[in-house]
Amino acid sequence: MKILLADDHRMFIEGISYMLREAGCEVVGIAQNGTEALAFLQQNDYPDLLMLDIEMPEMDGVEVAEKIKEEYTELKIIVLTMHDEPEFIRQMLKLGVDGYILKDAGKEILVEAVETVKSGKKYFGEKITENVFSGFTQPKSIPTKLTQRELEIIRLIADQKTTGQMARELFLSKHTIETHRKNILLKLGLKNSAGLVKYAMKHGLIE
Amino acid sequence: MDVKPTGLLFFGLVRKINGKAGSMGQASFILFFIAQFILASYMPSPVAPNDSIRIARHIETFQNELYSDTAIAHQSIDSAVLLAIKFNEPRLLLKALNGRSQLYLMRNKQKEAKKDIDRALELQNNRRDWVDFSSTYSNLGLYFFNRAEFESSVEAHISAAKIAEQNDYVLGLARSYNNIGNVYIKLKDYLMAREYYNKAYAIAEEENMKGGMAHVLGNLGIVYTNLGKLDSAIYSIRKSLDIHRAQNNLMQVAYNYSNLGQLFRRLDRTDSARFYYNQYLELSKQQQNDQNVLSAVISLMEIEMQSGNIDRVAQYLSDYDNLFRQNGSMELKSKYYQLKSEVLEHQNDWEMALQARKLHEQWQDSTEGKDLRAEVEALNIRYQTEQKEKELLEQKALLAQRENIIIMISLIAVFALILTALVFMLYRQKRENRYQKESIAAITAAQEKERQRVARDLHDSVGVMLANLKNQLSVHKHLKEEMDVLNSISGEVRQISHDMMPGTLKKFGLEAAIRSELDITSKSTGLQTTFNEIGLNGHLDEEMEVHLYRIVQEAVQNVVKHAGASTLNLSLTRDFDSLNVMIEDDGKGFDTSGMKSQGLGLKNIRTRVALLNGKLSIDSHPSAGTSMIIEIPL
Repeated sequence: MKILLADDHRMFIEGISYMLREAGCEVVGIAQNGTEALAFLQQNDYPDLLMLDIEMPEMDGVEVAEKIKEEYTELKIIVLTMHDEPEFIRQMLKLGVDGYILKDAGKEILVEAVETVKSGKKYFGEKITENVFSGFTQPKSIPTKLTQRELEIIRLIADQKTTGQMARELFLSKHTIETHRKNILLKLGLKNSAGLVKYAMKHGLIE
Repeated sequence: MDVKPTGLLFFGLVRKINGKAGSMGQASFILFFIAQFILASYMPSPVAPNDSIRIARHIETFQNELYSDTAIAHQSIDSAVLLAIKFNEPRLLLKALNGRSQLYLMRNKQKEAKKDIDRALELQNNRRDWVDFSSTYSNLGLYFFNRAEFESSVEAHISAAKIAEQNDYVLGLARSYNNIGNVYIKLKDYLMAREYYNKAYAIAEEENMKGGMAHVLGNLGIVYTNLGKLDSAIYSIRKSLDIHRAQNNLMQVAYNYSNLGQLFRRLDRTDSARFYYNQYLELSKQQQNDQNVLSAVISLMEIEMQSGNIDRVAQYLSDYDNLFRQNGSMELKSKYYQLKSEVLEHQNDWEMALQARKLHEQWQDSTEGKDLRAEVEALNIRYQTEQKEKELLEQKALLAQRENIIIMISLIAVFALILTALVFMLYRQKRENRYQKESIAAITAAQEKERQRVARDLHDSVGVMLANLKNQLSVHKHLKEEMDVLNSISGEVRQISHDMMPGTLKKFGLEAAIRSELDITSKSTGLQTTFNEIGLNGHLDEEMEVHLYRIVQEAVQNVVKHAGASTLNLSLTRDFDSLNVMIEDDGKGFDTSGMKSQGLGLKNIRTRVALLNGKLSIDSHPSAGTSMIIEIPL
């Protein structure tokens, strides 16, 4: 298993290299940034796996992952990063990386990840899976694009209420009502209140 | 100067024929009439003691002799004045002074007249002899009249008229009206003069004052002459003449003859003129009034000269030669030598003619030099005074105008100054505001940069070193506790780094960062969140993204801390020229009127919204949740 390491933290790379070699992996190269990583790929035999950090000078991990998934589809990528925010994981998964582990995951997980990816599977650590799950599923678990308040307003518009009447009924200012109306129309790609009523009837939002 | 009634009676008329010589005549005629009125009031006091009777008798003598023997009249009135002073008879003294000033006025002795008038006026302060005071004012009017101070004259006459009217002194009233008429003749307002004469005549007729009537008629003759109504003039004068004849007032009769002579001369009725002048001459001879005799002779000679009867003129010259030399007034002498030189020229006696001409010019110079020049000078002085007053007024007006202009300019200048100051202050305020905003923006930017740097250092440097350590320790299974400590340190560092500057924002933009923020919030608090992003399409300006992210961060923290809400909706909507962020919660809400007491979080939001030139509106109602809307122009 030929591994290319791309990270700008020398001390960290040394630690990782040591751990990987101990696990019987061959570290064929070390790149300090994205540009060096891509250059290495052009000059040498393909490594089997790229251990990629996200935060790097000159070219960051996101860009490198993009390029590699376009030009070197065979090359596996495990993101090795300090970022544990779900948005990072989501974005990197979108790019098609094969694994995502945190830098402080420890030797066991590191080896486990490399082995998993080597066998052709994807690897995400326990913590990552948790984050990704929440990041992916929670927004989707909200049933509709329209909020409760927006639905209320659509119904009141269908009832031919004026902005003032709506404002009084919902304890809101006219300005807020107008902003909602504007946002609803933009959200649903509609031009006016008549279109909104038609849409609402079609989708069963009003009776 | 002596009175010369002959040929001088009609001012306008005489001037046309003889050139000069006129003004005195008219005044004289009028004066005689006035004198008549005044004397009519000099009645001796019925209960007077002996001394009073003596004084009264002197006044009576004066009255009788005034027109016939001026010398005796003068002597009598002087005695009356002296005795009145001696025996302390103020009432008689007043009468005597009035009489004497009257005489002086007649004889054109203005200074002396004024002295007596002033003394009479002084007496007025202590006594109330109204009839006599009316006469005093009348004399004062005559005095001003002679000095050609017509306004003062009319004033005095009006005072006299008022006193007369209040005391039923009809004679005095008629006299004042007559005198005012005289002033109007001088002012050449003949219509006004006629009005006053008519008033005077009406009173005189009602009171059957024959003398008065005759005088007014004479004066009316002057008015008619000047109005060109010569027939009316002749009628008036003849009527006056009849009355004077009936009253045997020979002096006045003589004057009327003279006046008629002048009038007929003007009408070129030489025979009639010659007739009346001869009547005038004969009557004056009877009265032994040399001045009048010579005046008549001059007029007759002028008529003969015009008719070409040089021999008759020569005859008059030789007949009256002595009288002219001895008693002729300057004016008469001047005329006498003028005629004489003309006659001698006709007789080709050039040497004598020249001599006569020189004498004529000499006398003429002296008359003119004495009186006319003084008059002209007086007139000139008055004119100059008027001019000076006028100039002074004009200067005053000019000064006032200049002052106004200066005030106006000053006002404009002050206004402009205030305006400039105002504009400057406004400009400075605006500049200060801009500067303040710029500096806040700069500080905020620097702060964000610093945060980013620290966050990255913590994340990439400290974080990675900790990770390294963790990795190395992970092989030693017995260090479980140390591992836990290390994990919590690592987590803390990550959290601090994230709070300072989330990596998501930098890496993946606002939408991802907000989504991440909401995910974390949901996970850590249980608050249900929704996020709707509409039309954002890619990244915004980096600085704006940071501001908006911080705003959202603050707003979400506010909801978490204060709202007690279960749901939070956040929408980020991009229109073609604006962007709005709407953060809604279903919490307890608050009364927006007490919003100023809101904490630092809201203040930070406001500052950032202002830096983005945006608008913040907060809509809340107790128990109806809160909606915060931020609109940013793009």
